[in-house]
Amino acid sequence: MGRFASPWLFLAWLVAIGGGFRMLWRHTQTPGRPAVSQDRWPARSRLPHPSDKVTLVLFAHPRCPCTRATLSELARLMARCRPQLTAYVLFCRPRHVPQGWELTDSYMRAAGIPGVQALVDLEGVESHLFGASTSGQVLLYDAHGSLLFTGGITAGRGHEGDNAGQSAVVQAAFGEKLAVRSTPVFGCSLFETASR
Amino acid sequence: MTDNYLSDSGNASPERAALLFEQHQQRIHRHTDRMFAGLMILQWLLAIAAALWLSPRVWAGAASQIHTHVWAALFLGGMITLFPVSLAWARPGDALTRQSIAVGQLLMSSLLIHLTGGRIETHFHIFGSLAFLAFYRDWRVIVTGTVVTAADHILRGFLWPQSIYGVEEAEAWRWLEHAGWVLFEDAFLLFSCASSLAELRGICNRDARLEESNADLEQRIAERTREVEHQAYHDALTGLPNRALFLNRLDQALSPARRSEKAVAVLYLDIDNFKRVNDTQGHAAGDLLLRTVASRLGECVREGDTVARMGGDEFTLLLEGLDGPEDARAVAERVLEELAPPISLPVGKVFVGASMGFAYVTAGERADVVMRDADTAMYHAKAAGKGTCVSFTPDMNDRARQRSEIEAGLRQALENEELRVYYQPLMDLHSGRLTGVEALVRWQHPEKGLIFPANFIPIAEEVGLVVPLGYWVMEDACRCVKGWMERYPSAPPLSISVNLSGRQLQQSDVGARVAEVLERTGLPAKQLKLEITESVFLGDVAAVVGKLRDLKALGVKLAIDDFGTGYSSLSTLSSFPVDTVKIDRAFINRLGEEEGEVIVAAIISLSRAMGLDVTSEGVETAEQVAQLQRLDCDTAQGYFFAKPMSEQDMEERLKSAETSLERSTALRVSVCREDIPDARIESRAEEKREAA
Repeated sequence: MGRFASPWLFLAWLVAIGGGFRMLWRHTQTPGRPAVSQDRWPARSRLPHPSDKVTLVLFAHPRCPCTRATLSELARLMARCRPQLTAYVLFCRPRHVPQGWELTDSYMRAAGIPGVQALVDLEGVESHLFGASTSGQVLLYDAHGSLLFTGGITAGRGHEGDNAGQSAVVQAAFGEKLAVRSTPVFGCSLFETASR
Repeated sequence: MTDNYLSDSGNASPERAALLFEQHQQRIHRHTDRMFAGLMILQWLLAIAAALWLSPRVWAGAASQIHTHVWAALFLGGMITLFPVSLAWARPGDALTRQSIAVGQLLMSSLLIHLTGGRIETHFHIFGSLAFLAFYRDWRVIVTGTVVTAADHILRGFLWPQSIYGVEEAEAWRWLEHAGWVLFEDAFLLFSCASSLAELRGICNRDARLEESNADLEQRIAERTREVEHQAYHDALTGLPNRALFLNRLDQALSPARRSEKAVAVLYLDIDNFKRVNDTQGHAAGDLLLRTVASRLGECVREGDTVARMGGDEFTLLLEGLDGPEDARAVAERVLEELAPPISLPVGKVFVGASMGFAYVTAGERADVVMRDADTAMYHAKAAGKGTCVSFTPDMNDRARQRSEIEAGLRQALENEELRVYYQPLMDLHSGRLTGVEALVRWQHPEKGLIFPANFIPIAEEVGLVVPLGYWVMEDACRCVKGWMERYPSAPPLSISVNLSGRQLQQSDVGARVAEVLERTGLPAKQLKLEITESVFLGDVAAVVGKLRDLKALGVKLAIDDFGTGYSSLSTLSSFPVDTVKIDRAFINRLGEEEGEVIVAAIISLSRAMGLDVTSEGVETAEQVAQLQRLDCDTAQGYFFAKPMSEQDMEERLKSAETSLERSTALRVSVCREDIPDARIESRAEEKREAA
């Protein structure tokens, strides 16, 4: 060990770790499939669309660990913009999963955020209607049902903190001009590859 | 050496202080390396647990697989951890090890923050890591940590703000907030590190001073110990080995391990006339004499032999590797030759000789026995005449043992009243009457029977027992004569002759003690006759004469015993206040010869001229009696009249009427019952013992 423990080995170690961090960072920064979003609120959706407020629809996988960060960001958003926002969190429940599979800590947490309605999206019907395919996908509609923003509200997979999506939602809620209209979404896939 | 070596003041050797500092720091580094090794393993496991708990799997509908974070915690965390831990195990204390630990620890912070989704709580891991790095007391490690943190957050936040802040353009205050935290934390740690390093340097300086003081102290103790050891084993005056060292070397020389080697000899040497030099020329001269003798002795022996001073004027030589006793004798003769030339002292040159005894032994003998043998031989050399060398023989010990037995027995005899006083009549050669008796001591030994004085008086003289013994005899004899006088008032008054030893006469209170004896016994002083030998006049004559005059003043009479055999002469006789001269038996025995008769006649004639009485000792024949009568000798004693007898026998004789010369002859016949020639043999043998 002694003769190999030279500064060169130290550098090699640093380089290797750097490579590992780079891979991890790439994974963190690799977004999921973006929503094939409609410009308008889907007519066939069974979700009620309030006509007086901006409506936020968040599609979430009940077991996606990254979505916890999205829910944290949602909680912050609602704390700040609750009077201006109506928020739905749709937890996609795949076919053939046991009853209660979707009732996870994420579901409970979403249900506990004031002003947020946590709903179960059986077999992802609503997700399909809205074109969402990645957990953490946020769609923001104005009072007339027009799409204002589509994307994620975290800066990376499972990463809390300031980000462009969050800022866009705040701007939309307060009727300001949006800096961005779409951001990448970081989260698990709502559907299995075959069903997509 | 400074007295305040425990204080912080004073300067220690900078090199030593720096070395101590380095050693202390190295020890701290090694300990901290080990601590971090354990810590990093633990946090790696915690990182894996956190990944499994927070993001165990990644999902796609109902399907899932292990989350990348788990793999990252496992492999990237392992990579971060194992390299520094391996270094801590293989190269503890190495600079690269702690730098790797510092980097690894902060990279682990980065990984943990990432795995926990950038939670603010996990940022405390950075602060904790930096704080733990402060244990190293190495500012370079803190700087490394600072650089890594700064690179990770400040630099990255400045160059790629989205990676830190999640937005493309971070606000300046947020960057400053991060920089502030890092700088605050690191400044605090650097300050505390510098402070603790300063403290450590202070401790090292103090330790260096203590070490220097201790080294000085140890050196002084070692020097003092050497001195004390030297003093313990060497004679201060001559520098020679002393008794303890000599015995030690003798023990080694006689050890069984060296049995196969050649023989050894111990020479015991006593300087003749040393006391005289010391007394007459002073102790300084005596010391110089001893040093000179020591120096000369050193020239007589080979390298490896030992010359030691036992004390006083006694020296010993240990000769090893001898082929035979003749080797030891050769050395002894060389010593005598070496000591023969005069020794220069401040007051002049003196000649000293030596009496030597040696014991020649082979290995296995006991050292104390060899020393005793050599000592015994030396005493025989002294007794045989000074300036000689005597080899030890086993019979010397027998004699010595006998002497010690007699000494011990004699002390007991005095306590157990085993001593007896015998009386030998003194006859008036003119009237034929009994005029007195001489008291002679015998030892009634419970096992050995009757022991004559020749066998124990010399020993009593040597050990000082002769003084109490002499007074005991004197008192017993006086009491006895006093009793006879009371019981037989018609008998003529008897004088009692008692020997007064030289030792008794040396004592200042001899007059007082004799007076006490007379007072206790009630015997008139004029009836006590104290016999002294001529040898008493060899010492301080004036003192002796003074004491004799004191005794004369009491009224006792004085006689010179064994006259003619000692050192006095007729010319000096007039100086001493004596009343009687006792002619030694050696002259009486020669009365048959013309020369003997002339000598006895001269003694009697001169004594008469000086007004002294004359007593003849050892009279054995009627011819001798006749001749002495013709020469006008006053009194006589000897076997012709009676041999010494017990108190009871003497009293039996006193019961009869006046003892006449004729009856004394009958007495002799009745006592000895042998023919004259046999009586003479018996008389001579016994009287020789008495005389001795």
